[in-house]
Amino acid sequence: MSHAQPPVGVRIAGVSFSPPALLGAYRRELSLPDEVELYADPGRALYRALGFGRASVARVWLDPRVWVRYASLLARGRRPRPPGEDTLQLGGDAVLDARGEVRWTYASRGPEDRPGLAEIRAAVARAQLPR
Amino acid sequence: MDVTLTGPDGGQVPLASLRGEVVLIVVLRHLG
Repeated sequence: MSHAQPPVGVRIAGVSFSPPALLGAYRRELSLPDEVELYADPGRALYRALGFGRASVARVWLDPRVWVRYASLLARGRRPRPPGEDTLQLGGDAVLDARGEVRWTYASRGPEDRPGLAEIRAAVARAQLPR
Repeated sequence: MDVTLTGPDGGQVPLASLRGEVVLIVVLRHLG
């Protein structure tokens, strides 16, 4: 998750399929502020509901775009650990409006594939408008 | 969406309980 200033007037929730016990360590590792809520979804119900699937081994481990991303993280001081969980599960982003309706989703196509901040801000702004 | 999440304390949190304001959900990959 990025440390960039979040859009105004939006609640931010991070969700992972990892066990709930790992959420605290993740928050400390990334120095996430309390405003960012963290939840676990071990059964991946949210992943299925939003259509966030799994990638192939080749897409996750052999794609040059992934290695470029990891190199960037290493250059910024991140030290990835050997994964102990499903590395093929992909994530994504979603914006829900105040009525709980999904107004926008971005399904990552690989580990390095994330929407830009401008795209997220625009999606949030649209969701803040009445439908 | 009828989805229930788990909080850091193990408590169950229905996604519907987040209603009332716009929510940006960042769905992460593995943490460990």
